[in-house]
Amino acid sequence: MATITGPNQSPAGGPLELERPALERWKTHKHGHHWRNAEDEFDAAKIGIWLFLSTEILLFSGMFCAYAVFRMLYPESIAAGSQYLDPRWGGTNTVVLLISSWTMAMAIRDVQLNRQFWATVNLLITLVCAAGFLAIKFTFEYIPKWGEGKRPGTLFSYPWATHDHEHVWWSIYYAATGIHAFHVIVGMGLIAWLLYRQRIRKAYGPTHYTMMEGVGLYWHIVDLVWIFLFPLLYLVH
Amino acid sequence: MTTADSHAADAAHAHDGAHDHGHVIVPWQALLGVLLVLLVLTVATVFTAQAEIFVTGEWGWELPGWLNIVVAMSIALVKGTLVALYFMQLRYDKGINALIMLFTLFAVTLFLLFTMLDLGNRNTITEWRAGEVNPGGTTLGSGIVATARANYIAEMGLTEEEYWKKWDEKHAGHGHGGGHGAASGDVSTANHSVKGAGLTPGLFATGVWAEHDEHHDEHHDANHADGKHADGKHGDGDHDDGGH
Repeated sequence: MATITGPNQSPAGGPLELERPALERWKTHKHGHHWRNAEDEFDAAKIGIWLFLSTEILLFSGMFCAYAVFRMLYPESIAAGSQYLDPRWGGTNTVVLLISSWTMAMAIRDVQLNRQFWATVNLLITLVCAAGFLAIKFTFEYIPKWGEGKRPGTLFSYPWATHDHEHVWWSIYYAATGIHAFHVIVGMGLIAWLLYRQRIRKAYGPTHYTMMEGVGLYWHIVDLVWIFLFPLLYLVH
Repeated sequence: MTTADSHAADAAHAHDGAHDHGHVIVPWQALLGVLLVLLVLTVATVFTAQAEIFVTGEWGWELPGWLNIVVAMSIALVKGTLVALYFMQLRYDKGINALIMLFTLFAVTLFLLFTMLDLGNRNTITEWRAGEVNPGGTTLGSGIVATARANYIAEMGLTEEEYWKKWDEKHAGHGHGGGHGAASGDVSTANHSVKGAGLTPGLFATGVWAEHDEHHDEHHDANHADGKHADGKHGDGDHDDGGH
């Protein structure tokens, strides 16, 4: 073990194995040389994430706009379509996402305070909630609705429709929730990646947690979009 | 970059690392409090939506059409702001991030506002300028819903009457808001948007709400203006669908 080199090496040359039971990478993180300090690097990364999030908001605003247009044109079809959905499942999914958003914020707090165990627990809960959201979505909505012929656009084949533009409703529904669900899937991948880096690589700690902050912000925007999608899709009348 | 620079940078970093970071650690009480408020507001938004249906269906109140969307969006806005301020830490963060967010919201507002202005005033455009839109937006010849219906009838070997009888049975006990307006003149079409008055007109003409709806017959007639069937018995079914 005497050949180990690196910033964590004891200058006193003591028994390294005992002083350094595991490499904690967050302690050895060095900011890029083009930054004045780690603070600048963190702030710039965060601005980058916020710019990305603003494009996300613009992406979803296109869908909200389509919703507004079709709700204005065919209020009856939108209201009728909405009543095929069960607000209890939509509400459950809202609660699930809110809790996951909270555990994500708590995980970042844990990392800031170097409570690695609780950070892992909170990230795991976040991941489980994300999976639960998708499970509910597919089990109670996508799969049965699609099977009944409640499909978007020209794929629509539900014979018992009550209004002439219900296929438009399903187009909006699948586009909006589908792109949102895709974001949840991407978020799950990111959180799993965070878990690996946090647990195995010990990459995040009080002085360095930029990636967690970024993924956290992304995850909150996924929650934020659902906060608006839920009443628009489930509580229309 | 020279070695000396590099060392200087490291020294600066080490100093920063001693925790003069300026990063706010949001108190857990704040995070938990925000979560609880968010959960309460979620219940509130579901409850108000149900209450709106209740007072309309049960008591026959004429609620203004904007109420549903305005109440729901106001609650969502409060929830969204809480998430942004506390979970996303905008409240504690550098102003530039909030500025980016606000500018984005400004852009979204413009986007929605002008689209709505355009759409809301389509009725004031003279007919020849408005142009024609193929109802249902399909190249199938008839509307997509009508096509799905026709396909089903052909596939099952039903007559029109048999189909509509089944349709009535299917919708008798459901709060699907069906049974009105599909072919009447007072509903929005691709070329003609009708201003909403009250809740969605006729939404409660069938199913569990039917017995409370004074205008039941009116909607009933409107629905069958196309003459496809004339003896529907909307709303006479069982009331097993109190919720959704």
